[in-house]
Amino acid sequence: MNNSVSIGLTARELRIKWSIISLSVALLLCLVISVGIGPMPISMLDSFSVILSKVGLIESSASQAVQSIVSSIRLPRSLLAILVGAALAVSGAAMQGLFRNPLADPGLIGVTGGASLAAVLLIVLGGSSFSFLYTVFGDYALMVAAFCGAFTTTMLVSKVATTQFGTSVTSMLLAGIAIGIVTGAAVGVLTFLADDAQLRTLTFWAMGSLGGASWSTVLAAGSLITITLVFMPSQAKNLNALLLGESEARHLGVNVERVKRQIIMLAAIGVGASVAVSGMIGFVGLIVPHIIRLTLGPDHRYLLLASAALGGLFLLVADMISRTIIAPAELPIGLITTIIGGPFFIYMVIYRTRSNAL
Amino acid sequence: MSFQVEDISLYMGDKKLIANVSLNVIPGELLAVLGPNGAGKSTLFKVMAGEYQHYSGSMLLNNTRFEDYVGRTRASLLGVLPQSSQLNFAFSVFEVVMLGRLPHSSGRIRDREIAYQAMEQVAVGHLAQALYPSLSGGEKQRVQLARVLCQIWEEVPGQSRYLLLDEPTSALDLAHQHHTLALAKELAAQGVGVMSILHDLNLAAQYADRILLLGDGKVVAQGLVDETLSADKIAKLYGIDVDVIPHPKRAHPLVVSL
Repeated sequence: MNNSVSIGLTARELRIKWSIISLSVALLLCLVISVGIGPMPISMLDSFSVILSKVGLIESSASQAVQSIVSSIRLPRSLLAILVGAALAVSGAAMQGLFRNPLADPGLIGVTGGASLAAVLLIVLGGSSFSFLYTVFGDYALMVAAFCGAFTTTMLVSKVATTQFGTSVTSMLLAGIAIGIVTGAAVGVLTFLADDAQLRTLTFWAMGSLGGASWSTVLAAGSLITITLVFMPSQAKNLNALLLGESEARHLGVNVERVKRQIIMLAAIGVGASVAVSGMIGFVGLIVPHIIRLTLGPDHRYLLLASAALGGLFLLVADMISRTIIAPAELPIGLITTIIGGPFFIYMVIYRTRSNAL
Repeated sequence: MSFQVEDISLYMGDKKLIANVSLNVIPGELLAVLGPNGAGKSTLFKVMAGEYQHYSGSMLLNNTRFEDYVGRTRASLLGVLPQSSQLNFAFSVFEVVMLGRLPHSSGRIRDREIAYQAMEQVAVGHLAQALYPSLSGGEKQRVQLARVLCQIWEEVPGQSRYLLLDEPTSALDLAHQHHTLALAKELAAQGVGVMSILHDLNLAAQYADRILLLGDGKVVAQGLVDETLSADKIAKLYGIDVDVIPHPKRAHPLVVSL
């Protein structure tokens, strides 16, 4: 075998491997730090020992108060940040592959809007019109609703944007904007119907927050998000083929229709579960995969994994900022990601228009 | 065994795109499909590539109905090179070519060997680590060809392989046009059935074993090069005056416009 071939490739793959490993280490480190930060600072050692004791590895020597703060307040919140960040980033990366365009963020193309509308519908009218959802799905009712919303909007955008000549990015973005506006307006109408308690929940939705984190939300969202995180990578090769074009993927033996459906389904589960527990957190799915593509390339076998790790890291850091920047009050995390993501999106549009790729 | 297309018609709404087209791509032969713009060449190509479901007629690939194949199995027998690619993600050339190994499970090491051999075949080996979007149109076309070669690289026991090319030379300079068609010819010599849409009648005359002339969605003529490339047929098909003379150095006709 050609020697230079194997060496060159191993070097690149080594870099990818190391990037993913160091991302995971950074993620763990950040988890420990985030658990320590708050009104009552906790040392890294204590945080670490409580986390390990939670996993069942050791007995923590930290005080009872520290243990209970970490394990019942901060740890679930940090874990939820990681889960939601990973889910949004992976769903974003996969949708961008599906639409063959790096601007296809779940927020921009209306998917989070759809999920959020469905969830708000359930919150406001749930007691009366949709009470059967609660009886059937219990704690998962909100997530099921958000999933349905996310799935429906993705299908809708995909239908509007896809003609016999392929997917039109312009139609996709326009359809997404339109859906975003309509769902926003519908949510606005619903706020007039809402009572005080519901109104507070709705505000939390609109701006995105991890404030509602508890072990039960971590468990519920986690079980759904795990489905996305585990099964999306198995579509990596198909996503690579789809980047060539749908016809080309078909020529390579990919069952395009089925693969598209599965990817949309998995992305909708991820986005739906995230929206259900944390509201509208924008731009994670746009920024994270873009950075990974710039550094590791567009191969989905690495892109999805690395996006999951960086997405978790990104949202964890954003959450730390949201908790500390105006302490003791809390800045909604969705505002932070949007403040970072908005300009980033504009930069991407300018860059892509210059290179004529939009 | 062959890729047998029987009586294919395709309508888009009320508009007839191709009507009653029959042809046979025979392993070991290079079949050139010629015709003016709008004659239905690309439609025929897409039907044979499996992109349209609503055609009438039948297609047999190695005696099995085209629709009865599992995607991956068919992909290891039938390579398709469309005219242009929409790929604008920053894959390296090597990664693009490796995508051709998707239908196979021959192992990573074997896949890499094949990818490098395929890149050498179309003279893009030196570009292996270059990013695809940064390439010129002609280079992209050759990389895509390498990808498709990679896809049907290995013989499938008891089966013949086929390669469909849609104007594979459209973005290429003169040297690469000849290089590409010589390669297609060489593949045919190895037992692959090759069909290529071409615009240049003289390239077709030089490299094709058989020619199919398509006009207004119908087969105008098909057969050996000397039979099909006659002055009156070309004049009628394209509406221009031509003369067909013997090539001064080679044993095939030369089409010159008057």
